Amino acid sequence: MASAGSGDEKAAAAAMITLISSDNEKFEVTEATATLSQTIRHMIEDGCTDGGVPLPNVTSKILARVIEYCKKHATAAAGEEGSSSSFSDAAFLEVDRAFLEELEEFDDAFLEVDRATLFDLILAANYLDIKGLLNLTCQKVADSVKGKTPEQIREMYNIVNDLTPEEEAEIRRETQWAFE
Amino acid sequence: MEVGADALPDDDTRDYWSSLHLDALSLVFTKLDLFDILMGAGLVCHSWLDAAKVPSLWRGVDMVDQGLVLEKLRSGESDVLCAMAKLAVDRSCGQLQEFHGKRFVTAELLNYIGDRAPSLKTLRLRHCYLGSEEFTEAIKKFPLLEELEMFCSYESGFLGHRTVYELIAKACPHLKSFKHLHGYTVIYGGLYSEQEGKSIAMADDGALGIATMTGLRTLQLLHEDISNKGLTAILKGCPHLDSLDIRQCSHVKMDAAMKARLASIKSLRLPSEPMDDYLQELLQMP
Repeated sequence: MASAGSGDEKAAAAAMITLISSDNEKFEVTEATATLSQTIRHMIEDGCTDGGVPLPNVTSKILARVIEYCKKHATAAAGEEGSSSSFSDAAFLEVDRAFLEELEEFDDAFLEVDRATLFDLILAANYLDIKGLLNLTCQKVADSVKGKTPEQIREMYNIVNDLTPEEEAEIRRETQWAFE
Repeated sequence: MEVGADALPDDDTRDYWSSLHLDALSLVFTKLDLFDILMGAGLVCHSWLDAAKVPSLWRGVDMVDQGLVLEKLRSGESDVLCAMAKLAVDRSCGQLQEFHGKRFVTAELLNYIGDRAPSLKTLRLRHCYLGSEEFTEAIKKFPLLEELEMFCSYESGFLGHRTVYELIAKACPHLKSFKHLHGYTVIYGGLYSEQEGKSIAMADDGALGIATMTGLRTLQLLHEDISNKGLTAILKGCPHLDSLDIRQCSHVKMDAAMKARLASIKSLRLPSEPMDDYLQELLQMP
């Protein structure tokens, strides 16, 4: 993946945050990267990030991926801000489009993961409150179940059908049109 | 395959997806259409069924252009679409704000929605067969309606246009947007034939009714038989109007006086402008 841009590093050189995964691995990230997470943003605002931010719900494997996402999107945001002042409107739109395209490609590649990782990414995005990442990963799940029958979805995601007989009866009653 | 086929280790048979957070699952469900929720993902297991029943998921029900709507309409299964719409309305637990429906919508369904979702704000109907009496009766159940769109919907029956519009205005005092295109103009090939238009509608009859929708901000009247007199009545009756689309209202003449009256309208589409954006819709006539 692309490294963080110089603007990003400069702006946040003084403010590095240490994130600590559930398996005790430490990750140094800039504040700009970390604050894509609303949860961490609030911790920074409350001044409780000295000595690192423990994230007992997130493994190092998943945290590395989450940071990769945040770095890319924080860089893109910083790049957009920087370019708006130094380019004409037309040039800015051009740069803007290039950024968006690159970001889209990044997101597509980012989602090339197995289902277990996808699940863990959703949990982490939810816990860390990273709206963009949660949206991206949930969209991936939605796309995968579109047009599928319940049985196909259960098979795809190893889901056990635990509907109670009452629920089954209710479904049958409510959706009898589908069975006629 | 998207998520599924690739790279799931063979030995990984844990059922963790059924324990997905309700928040995250709800977000997934907001990205699915009504058919997937009612017939697919929403029936997978207990927790996914719970997510499919969250009332806020059902604030907006759109049954217009999805492949399955068209498929069921083509195979004559309007009753199935009606049943699905009712289930969606039930699940909204009164929170339904917006409903878009096509040919399958009957007055009975409108009454059903009105009885259970009286806070509906937006109603869009396309290609619906509705009698003017039953429609104006049903519309009384939506006192909070702000946006009403009726494209190519047939109001047959004995009530004239003016009466129908007046009854809508009376039933929905908060109406801010009204969009209308008669069905019959298309059926009888009247869309491009002034002759047909004149013989069917009485000039300016409808305009006097629309003039009673005093809170309107947006008005779209496509191919309506109105003259300068009728349009003037509308402008007088609806002082807040700032968006007006009167394309194909070919009896409106854009003289100096009319131009002056329309000067305060921010967004204006004139009779002479093409209706390309609706051709697709018109061609879908049953």
